[in-house]
Amino acid sequence: MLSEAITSSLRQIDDLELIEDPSRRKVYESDGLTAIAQMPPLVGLPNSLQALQAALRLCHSHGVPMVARGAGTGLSGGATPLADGLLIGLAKFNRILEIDPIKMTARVEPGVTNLAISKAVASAGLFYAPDPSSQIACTIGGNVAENSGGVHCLKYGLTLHNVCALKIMLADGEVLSLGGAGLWEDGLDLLALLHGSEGLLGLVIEVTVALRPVPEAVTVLMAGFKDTDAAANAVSAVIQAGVLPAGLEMMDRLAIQAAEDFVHAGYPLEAEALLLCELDGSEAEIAGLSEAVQAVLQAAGADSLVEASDAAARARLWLGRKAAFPAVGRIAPDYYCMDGTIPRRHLAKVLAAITERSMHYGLPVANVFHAGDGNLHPLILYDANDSDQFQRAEAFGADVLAICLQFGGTITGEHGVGLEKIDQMCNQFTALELAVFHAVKSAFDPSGLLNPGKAIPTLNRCAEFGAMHVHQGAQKHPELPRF
Amino acid sequence: MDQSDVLQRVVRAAISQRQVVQPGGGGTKGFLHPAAAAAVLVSTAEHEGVLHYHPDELVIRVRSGTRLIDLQATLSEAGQYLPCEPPSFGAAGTVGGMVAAGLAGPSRPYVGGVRDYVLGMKLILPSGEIAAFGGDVMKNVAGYDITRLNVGARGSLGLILEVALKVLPIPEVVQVYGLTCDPSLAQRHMLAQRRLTGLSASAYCDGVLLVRYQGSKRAKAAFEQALGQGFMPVSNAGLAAVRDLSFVHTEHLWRWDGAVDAPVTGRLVAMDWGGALRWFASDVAPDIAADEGVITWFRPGEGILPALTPRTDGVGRLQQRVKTALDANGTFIGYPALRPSS
Repeated sequence: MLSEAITSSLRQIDDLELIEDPSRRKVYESDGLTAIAQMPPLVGLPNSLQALQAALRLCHSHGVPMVARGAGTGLSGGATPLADGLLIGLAKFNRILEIDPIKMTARVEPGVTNLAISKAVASAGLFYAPDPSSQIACTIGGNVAENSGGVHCLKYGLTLHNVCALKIMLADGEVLSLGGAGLWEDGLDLLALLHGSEGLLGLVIEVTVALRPVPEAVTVLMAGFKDTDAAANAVSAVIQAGVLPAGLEMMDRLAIQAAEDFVHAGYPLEAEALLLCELDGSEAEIAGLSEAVQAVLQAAGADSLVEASDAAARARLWLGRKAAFPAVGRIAPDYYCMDGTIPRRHLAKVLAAITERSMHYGLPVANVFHAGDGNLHPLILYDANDSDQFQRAEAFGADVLAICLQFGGTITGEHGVGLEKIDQMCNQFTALELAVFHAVKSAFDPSGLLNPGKAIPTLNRCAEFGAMHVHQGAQKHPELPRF
Repeated sequence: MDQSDVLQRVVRAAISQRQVVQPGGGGTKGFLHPAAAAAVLVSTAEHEGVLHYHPDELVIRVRSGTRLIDLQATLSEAGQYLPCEPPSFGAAGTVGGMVAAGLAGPSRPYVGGVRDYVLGMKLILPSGEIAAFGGDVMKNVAGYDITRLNVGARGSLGLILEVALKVLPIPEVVQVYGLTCDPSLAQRHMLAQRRLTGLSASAYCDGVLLVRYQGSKRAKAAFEQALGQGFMPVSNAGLAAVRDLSFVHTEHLWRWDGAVDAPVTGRLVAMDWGGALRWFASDVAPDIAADEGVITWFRPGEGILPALTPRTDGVGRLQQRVKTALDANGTFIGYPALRPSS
């Protein structure tokens, strides 16, 4: 709840639309992690930076916590509202402010969608490279907050590698510009630090992205393999051959079959694993590059090999991969999408361990994998109406993250920690390391008002979480959201 | 060999004696701290060696004292390289020094800087304890990016023990082309050539514009054709000189970081990064309009050190708050003041 005094002060801010009606507020009760919902007591939609600043100052001076939200497509609960805080929607900041074809940059407001940037600069022969699967809806501000990836990270990097400058607003309303007019500025790299900070350090209010020339030529190769080991070895062989594909994706049998049933992309149903390899470059080199990679894939034991070089055929092959999540959603009432990264050399062992857990919990799992960069997305199939299945899916998910850590990986490659993985942070980091995170937070937001309870667990929470394992997973604080 | 324990003991001793620690490596970039006070230099030079290298995963992890030339030789044997091509100020330069200095070479605008290739780090914190951030994988968003915060921090937040780096395959062809011209014509070419496929450097020094192609053999002819008349193949030496700042001069060296299309003014010594980085040699700060870029001091000349001040803008104050929050007792040397006093 917010006090009537705060609410009425917020009402007086010009250009701040307040959503008080419960039926309209309900839209904001969760982000893409729908398993956790919290009705926000109040939603503010500022229409100007002045309004945003006024709202922040008011909340700051009264100790009211704040959660920023873009399109609400995040998968880890980073934008889940607080019971006692203001949810601030930044979707109205949706203008592209400047496109500079010479510097190859675009300066945009945080609510501009990822795909809208590439669309707006296409006529200048440019594109914005990071392409999370939600790019049609997700906002660039949210991309910065999560350091979003996509299928082209191996060659083009994450959001971090494609942003030149940011304007941020701190919890007290102070506005700062990070990243200078050039490519280096003196002092600590706060621009890097803001990426993936999940709305805990500051609100992103303007983003200058780096654009790239649209490649002259693109081709996609699809190879089927009779086991995942062979496919993983093929990925290694392509990279060993000195090729840096624009995208390199793997799907396992269940994911292939679900996708093929759903969109009829022409996937080989007999394959245990499928690789999609996108190559781009100049007209002069693409044919030779494609031949070289095909030879590598064949030598690595590909049972089937298809090339799609025209746009329509490429789109068809990608459609299956991009529809993999909803496709899996058709074969089970619910699925739980995991997001760990592992050193790729351990892929076979990790998949075997996941299969073992799948049998242990009696829940099927489909795997899609950004193979080039080791980012694994196991999709655990379950039925949320069956509370026992829900519990098992949750335990299975925790085990998957533990497996990723065991093999030297991380609990989140691109979806963020949010609320979802906050307890697993206690496994990945020591108390000492967590204390470093808290120190950074205190420098940006000493009052702790921005997105509290997300991303970085308190040491107390970790102590409690550690104790939970002793009691065989029985939850100590059932009132705390955990998924 | 592993010197973590030794280094940790030295840092802890400095903490107990209330001495400020200045992390160092091969000692080739000590000039980056122009006004280092009575800090204890703690060198990682003996803490060297490759911890693991998996060429097919494009990841290598090394101890911070590993010399850059050794790293480069290891990568080269596997047909790979470090794309941020850090400058070399001597053979003793280390990986830890590269990361702490955060200086990237001519490829910076095209493939990224040092921080774009750093994946993980182990370091001695201001408390004297050892912590690890990031990892050995390319995608990792767990926790704040403390790894990249330490890139270019000049040892102000900790002493780096290990670094995991992303590396890339060496391109099939690397060729530099030169064109003799004046600085403003050089800038016009730089701006016109920004979109060339395979462009990996665009710099200007000693009256010559230097443009580098890297990519496949097949696409090289198209690049040459797009360059146009007058460009001749030249050796890598000129570009290496711009990277390593091996110009002969007696004055202080200053850098200007700004917009590629800002007018070329002043008596510049060199331009790099397609015009986004410009070098000036003078005993006093060069008089360049500040609105499209920032001037900072870089390297001493023969004259007395000019008066320099830390950043005092909001970002500078926040940077200082971060430093204070992470190193409340001032275990490590502060980030140097680099801006000319007005």
